[in-house]
Amino acid sequence: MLTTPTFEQIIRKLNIAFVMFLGLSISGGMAITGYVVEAALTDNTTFNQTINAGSLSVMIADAAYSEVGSPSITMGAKDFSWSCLTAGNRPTGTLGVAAQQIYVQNPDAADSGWTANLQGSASTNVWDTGSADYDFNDAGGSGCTDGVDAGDDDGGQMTVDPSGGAIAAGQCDSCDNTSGMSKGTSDAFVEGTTNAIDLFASDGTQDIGDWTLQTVTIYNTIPAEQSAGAYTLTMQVAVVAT
Amino acid sequence: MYTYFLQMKKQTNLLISAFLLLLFTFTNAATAIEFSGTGGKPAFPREENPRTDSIFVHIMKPGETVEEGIRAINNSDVIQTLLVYATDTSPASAGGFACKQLAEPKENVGTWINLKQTEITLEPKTNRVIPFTITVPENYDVGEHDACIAIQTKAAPSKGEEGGMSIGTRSAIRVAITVPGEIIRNIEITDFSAEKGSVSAIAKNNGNVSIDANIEIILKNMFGQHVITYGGEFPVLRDKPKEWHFALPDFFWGGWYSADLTITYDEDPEAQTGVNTEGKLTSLEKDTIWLFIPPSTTGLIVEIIIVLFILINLFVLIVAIKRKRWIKHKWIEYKVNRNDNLQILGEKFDVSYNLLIKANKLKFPFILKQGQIIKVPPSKKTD
Repeated sequence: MLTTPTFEQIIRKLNIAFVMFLGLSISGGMAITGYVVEAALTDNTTFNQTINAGSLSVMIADAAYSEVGSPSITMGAKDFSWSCLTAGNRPTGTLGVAAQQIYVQNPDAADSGWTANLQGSASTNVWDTGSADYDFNDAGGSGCTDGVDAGDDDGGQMTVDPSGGAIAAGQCDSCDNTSGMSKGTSDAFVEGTTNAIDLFASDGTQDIGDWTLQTVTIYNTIPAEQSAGAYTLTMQVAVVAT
Repeated sequence: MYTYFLQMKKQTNLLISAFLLLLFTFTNAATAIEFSGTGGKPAFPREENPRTDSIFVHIMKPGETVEEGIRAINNSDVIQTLLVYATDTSPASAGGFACKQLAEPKENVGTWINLKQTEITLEPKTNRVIPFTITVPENYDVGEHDACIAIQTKAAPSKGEEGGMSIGTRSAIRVAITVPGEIIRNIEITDFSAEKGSVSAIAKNNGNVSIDANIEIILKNMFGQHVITYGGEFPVLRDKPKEWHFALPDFFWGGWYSADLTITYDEDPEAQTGVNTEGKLTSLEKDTIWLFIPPSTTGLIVEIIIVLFILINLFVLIVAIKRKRWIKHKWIEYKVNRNDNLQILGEKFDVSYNLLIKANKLKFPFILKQGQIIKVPPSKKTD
């Protein structure tokens, strides 16, 4: 049976709702994760808020933009060959896939642009098994023979092609992937001449934003009669405020 | 009393709705996306040059020393030990700016930088300033000289899978030092083209300082309507060509488009990195290029359907016109006999009875009367 509530009951309900509303307005407004908030309650309550400084950064991130612990690229396996594995039959790999995408964040740090590139962790690095190696930046014989580069007697060359890559805006709602975003072009590492290959760059039009780059194709020229083995190489993706 | 109760109940519901709305609003705010990386930025930006917010820019005479600082930042959720180090620049493809690696010896401008600290451990969500000095050697040549200050986590990237590459990351800040003297600021456009889904331009810096060049590529459709503008302000490093490759978006209809390139920059020797003079900017242009952009897959299907539709209609129209002419000029009059009907006449004159109906504009039920004059094709069977 429907009973008519008393006037006091109605007021009590209203007060509960009002207090919840007021309490949440204040506490919710102050407790936004990621910002340090100092509130001092005085006669005239003053709200102070600090937004921590961000910096230009790059990481290899998964689809949820979380950093991947041990990012790596697996190149296509090839059989031992009496001839140099070059254009047409050289192994390929992809830098930037959905689960391991290149992720640049610019939280109002590089106001006038940045550039991201791929380079060896040292230009004298080589693909290595521990007992055998070959180069990643030797232009000798189009990558098939040892050239004039210092520090090794190996051939081998890596070509990076970001021209077919896909730039996408990340978590930033107001960003887009075309304004002021320029992609690099296909190029091969040459020790001392091309130590880094441009992947993509921003002019700073969007000085706050985050972007991902996927589908950068890697081609690996391997010299003839290269010993069988599981070769590894350490590379680095760098982002520079320019 | 009951009316009053209903009014109060409505107000209560309104307030509860407001509460729920706020709950949702602040629930979202509580899970706000945060910057989570590590890196650095200039600690002492100068008001007169806004570029110093992002990079280190100084005009320094040979032998001069300046004091600077880099703010190392750890906005990750874990304690990070960061390596902070100066490097020379490294040659990069496409005229990009790149830095040498930690492992590589410093031989040029990297040696001018002396960091007070090269390793720093930061608690989560903290930052600290690392002071450093830049000293230009005596008798150094006029113009801009660049270096980097890089920051990376100390932990080496883990070894990748066998048969693959492991990938490390780092961030760096450009250090641009200009030794004053006879400054030359000049760039030229060396290429403007379109291929492989992008529109590209190359400009060469013939001067002795880097130039902040404003590149603008305007794409128009074949009717001259503006479609999209690419570009922005990019540094073109001294003595180097700079390449731009702007990806063309998918155009639904595709087609022919024109592209116009303009590069503007400050040629005044008084201009600096980050600071233009009040003078007129120099503007470079290149001849318009035309490019064909393929349509999207859906667009292509729609276009094929439209083209087929037009072709089929055209074919039908041509056939109809020709038939009309044939009927008008070649068909002859025929007097309907007693037993004639459309089917018999069609067989007799080797023509469909439908065409006889159309040609003679006969009305339903298409009954022919004896002696009626109709048009029929010329035929031997006329007799």
